[in-house]
Amino acid sequence: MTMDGNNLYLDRNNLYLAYLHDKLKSTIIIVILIILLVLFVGIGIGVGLYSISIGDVYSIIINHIFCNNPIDTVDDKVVWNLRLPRVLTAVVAGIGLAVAGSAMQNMLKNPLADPYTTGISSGACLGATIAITLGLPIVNTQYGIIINAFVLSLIPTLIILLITKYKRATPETIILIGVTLMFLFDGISAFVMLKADPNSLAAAYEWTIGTLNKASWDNILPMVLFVFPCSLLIFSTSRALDTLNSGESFSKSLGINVDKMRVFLLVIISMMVAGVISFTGVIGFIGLISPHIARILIGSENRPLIISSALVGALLMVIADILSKTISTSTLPIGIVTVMLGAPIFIVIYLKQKKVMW
Amino acid sequence: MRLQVDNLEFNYKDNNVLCNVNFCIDQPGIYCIIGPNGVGKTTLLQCIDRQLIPTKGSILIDNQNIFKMGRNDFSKIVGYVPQITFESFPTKVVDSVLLGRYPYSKYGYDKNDLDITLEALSDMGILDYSNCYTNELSTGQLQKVQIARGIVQQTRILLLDEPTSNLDVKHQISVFKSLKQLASIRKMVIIVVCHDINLAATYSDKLIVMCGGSIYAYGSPSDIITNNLMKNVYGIDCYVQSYNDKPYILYYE
Repeated sequence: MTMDGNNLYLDRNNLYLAYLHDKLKSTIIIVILIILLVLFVGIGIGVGLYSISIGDVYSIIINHIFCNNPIDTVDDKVVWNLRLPRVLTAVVAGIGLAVAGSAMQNMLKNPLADPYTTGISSGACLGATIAITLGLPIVNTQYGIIINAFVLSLIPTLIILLITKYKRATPETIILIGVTLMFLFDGISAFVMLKADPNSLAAAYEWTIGTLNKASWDNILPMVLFVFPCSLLIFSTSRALDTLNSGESFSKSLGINVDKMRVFLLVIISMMVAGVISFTGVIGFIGLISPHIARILIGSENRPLIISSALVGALLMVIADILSKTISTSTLPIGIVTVMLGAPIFIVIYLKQKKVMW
Repeated sequence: MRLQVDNLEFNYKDNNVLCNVNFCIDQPGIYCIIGPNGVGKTTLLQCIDRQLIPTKGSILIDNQNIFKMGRNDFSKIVGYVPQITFESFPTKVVDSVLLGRYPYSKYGYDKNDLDITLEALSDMGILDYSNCYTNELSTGQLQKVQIARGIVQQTRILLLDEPTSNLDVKHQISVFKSLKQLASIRKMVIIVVCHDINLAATYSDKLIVMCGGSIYAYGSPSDIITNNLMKNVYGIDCYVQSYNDKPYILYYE
């Protein structure tokens, strides 16, 4: 029973149904996102100079997993050794960045916040730049760049944590200190780059844009180990994040230690993002827009929001990867595609939505 | 139900906000806190709600120190409705009010939670808006959403910080009427910070008048509202009239 088509339900029973209908709608959207993701993962693996149909892709994967006798075909090698790690890296990175962005926006109560608001990306860039251009990794192995990026990306967060010992961990403190540290670290990176030779400069520059070219099975496991536990921990705070959305005082009155929760989330988000970007480089925009697209699709309640953000993030990454492989033969760095694809898509979605959301 | 505040003192760094606050509430009803801006009304509410830890003194509920109670159990005894806050990311009214069920349902809501929520929305007269987003509401309606959120917490003590500041006179009165009903039906102690002295005097069983960080007067409105009190607390001259045994303030130039 609606009035003026305005969703003004009059009867109690109808309201109950409307509530269930809402929750059902969220579930359906999540299921659709999962189906789309499976579809695009298949397409993503199939696309390339040697193209394979999506049906074949999945039968190869299923065969590889469930058949005991070794299959040694070209198709299997291409799918399993070359393309699957790359697409899975895109998925895992997308999930990590989007969940981090969603949690960051909610805990800082700021739609402009993204996983890099606290200067993580600048720290990582500096670490990678030092390793690449000066040849000064903290540990001298093939993982030198990764470890450098990881360690330095956590320094801004550590500084913020130190500061919250003296000043309350308010959104303003975190954002202002984070952005200040970002400028500081970017400045140092720029200084290091000025002194670098052109070859390592190009490599360092590519790293700062973000690329999937270094994806491999060896790198996926550590990424997964960062992304999934951290995402689950963030997911477990979703109710508390919901109350925070209605004001700090309200959260506090429900017994939630708001400052402690922010510090906890800050640490979790930083670990997760550092775990992603030290392998891929700084992929921009996914962490900022995925939560917004998810919010438009599903609303601001954190439990469905975090799940759908993760799916949207993964989906955008996989699509960006497909485009990066089809637009140019030399495979564009994915960071360029996410921004060039993400920005216009986001503006269109934002303008097309009927309700003013925030 | 007995709420006892003894020798309460609260300092923000060097700034002494509350000193020597003493009062005791042992009957259900509406208790309005009035007093000029910056006198420590919100600070007092937040101390009673355990959001702020008093520098000195104690707060007892049924002779139990509130700071020794389990935090979640405490949220089932004392509810708090803050001054109007806008959501950073708007949600539906029904979801927003359901948040008040947090102390009872940490992981998911059942039909009972939803029934309690719809009941509260209907008490507040905003049932029709339950499916709207909070940013589509007027400020007054949003204020009612927040009050409903306090109601669904089903506490014996409910603290409200200026719940009627954005409402017109019709809705101010309807909010106070529903609070009065809650107090009498559910035997709740409802403590309201309110700036409208006439409204407070009309609906409260007792008034708590604050001045300079402590309680200036505590008693039934007709006993304590006098020319003298208005002069001492607010520094204004006015007429105090009486109608149906309730005091009314008339301002003049």
